[in-house]
Amino acid sequence: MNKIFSLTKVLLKNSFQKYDEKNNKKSGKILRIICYGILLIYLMGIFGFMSYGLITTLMQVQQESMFIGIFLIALAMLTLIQSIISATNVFYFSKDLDYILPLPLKPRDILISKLNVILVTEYVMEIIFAVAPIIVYGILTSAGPMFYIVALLVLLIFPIIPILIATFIIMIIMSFSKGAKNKDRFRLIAPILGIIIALVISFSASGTSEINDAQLIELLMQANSMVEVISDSFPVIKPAINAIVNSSFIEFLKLLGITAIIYIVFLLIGNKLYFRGAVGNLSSGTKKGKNITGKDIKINSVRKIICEKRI
Amino acid sequence: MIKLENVSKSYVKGKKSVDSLNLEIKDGEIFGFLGPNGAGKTTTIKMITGILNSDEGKISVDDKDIKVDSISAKKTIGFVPDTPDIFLKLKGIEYLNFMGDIYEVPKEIRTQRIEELTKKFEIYDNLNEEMQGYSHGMRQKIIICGALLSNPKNWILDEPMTGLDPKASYDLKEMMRKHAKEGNCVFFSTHVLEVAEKLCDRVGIINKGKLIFVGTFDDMKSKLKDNGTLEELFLEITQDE
Ligand SMILES: Nc1ncnc2c1ncn2[C@@H]1O[C@H](COP(=O)(O)OP(=O)(O)OP(=O)(O)O)[C@@H](O)[C@H]1O
Ligand SMILES: [Mg+2]
Repeated sequence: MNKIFSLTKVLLKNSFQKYDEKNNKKSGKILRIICYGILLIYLMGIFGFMSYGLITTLMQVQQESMFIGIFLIALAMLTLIQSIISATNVFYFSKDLDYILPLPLKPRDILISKLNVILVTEYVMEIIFAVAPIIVYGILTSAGPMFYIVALLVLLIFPIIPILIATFIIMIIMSFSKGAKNKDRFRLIAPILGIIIALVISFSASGTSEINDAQLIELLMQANSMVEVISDSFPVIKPAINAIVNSSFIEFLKLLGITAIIYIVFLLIGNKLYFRGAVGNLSSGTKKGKNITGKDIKINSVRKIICEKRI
Repeated sequence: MIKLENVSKSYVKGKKSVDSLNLEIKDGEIFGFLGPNGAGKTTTIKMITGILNSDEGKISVDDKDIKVDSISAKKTIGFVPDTPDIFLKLKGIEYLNFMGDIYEVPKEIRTQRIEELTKKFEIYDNLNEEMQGYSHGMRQKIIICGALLSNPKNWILDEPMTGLDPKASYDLKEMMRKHAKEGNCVFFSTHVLEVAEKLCDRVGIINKGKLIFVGTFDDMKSKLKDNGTLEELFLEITQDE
């Protein structure tokens, strides 16, 4: 337990401090903190405001609890997309395994520590996107303190399963397609994917501002039937919704239980999937493994001839 | 004690980077591992330390199989890799404390040992700086301090002298001598024949994945006289420096 904590801390420090590498001047630091602070408040404000619009609309038809379903699905999607990117970085592109493997650590501890790193980045994301909507919902429905406690607990546990799904997908891709070799391509795809998703979201958001309340409710109803479908196929969403909507601790325990089971199963599978691939072939070099083909040699000799002629 | 039996490894199918290696490093011994670039030294060391899985053969450290009993085997190893670019965003002291946590060095002993080791290598004053601001030699030194923090029985060092200044290099050599004298095991790779000559009880020469000589340095010298290929290799190694 202690070792997992230490390793998580080190991995986090090593990945987070990346961002303030260049200017270490104190005044720059303060300025940056202020900038991030303003940005954070701005973003939280936007999401809080959007939530306010949605919830008050839904309240007109006494359907405000629908908001939580839509909110959690969106959160799950966001977590899934983000953790696909983090998982590739944390598990495959950070070259720290060479240094971690000689340490007397159980493979499972390494796996858990790396998952923790992803989890912490998701918590940061939740502060930006999830805290404001929950508070707005709580205020509008004049919820008691139990609501906030349960909601906080749900927010802590809820991202774990999307993270595990994302990590599992990446591990499958990496171990069967030798995807690590296409590192550069992978790096390029991730941000493009992010931009496309951001554009789609902002377009659809700007589209909705034009329509009237009745249409919005119609739309939300449709969204809700989608929520029903999704939550039927993903057993964790239902207890999460129920926990927040009813401020129910029992429902939260259900969520916790399901998450724990899936986590344990993941550890068993992930251990094999990750370390068999990783320990077996740590061929970090992309070119080292390649055989020189006849073509390369030909080109070289042609170049040589050209060079010689010039001389 | 480090023991390799028939160990092989290939990165690319059909090309063995380490080929049926047999080697035993006894307690109380300093063993130098020599060979030209790409001979398979680092690959061998990576297999001993559990970074790579061997394709064939058995590796044991203090009679513990590195694949089966890996945690207790790894606990007895102090490892210095060939590139000291570890966790560069950490401060020196954070790195050492991390190593202390992982190797379960009690707090009281830890502080004292960190002070002792880092003062010896003259990086005590830099402990509160991030390691990415360290020079190559300083990074090498902090890695060595981290590896030796738990006072492990078996030292495995991959080209530990590169980048060290003469004093640090001298100190490290003295520490290696002392460690071996206390009945422990020191295994290191190097290109510098002079170091091997002065320091090692025995040397092994590896070329293209195959171990072509094991014995004392004097043995090697006398063998060189009548063995053409060994001489060529010897030249290859010396010319590197
Ligand atoms: N990640 C890798 N992928 C493919 N081949 C590799 C990889 N690492 C090493 N090799 C090959 O294995 C062989 C042995 O390499 P190794 O790094 O063990 O040599 P070395 O003796 O440590 O050399 P040096 O003196 O340069 O450190 C080389 O032929 C090298 O091309
Ligand atoms: Mg090497």
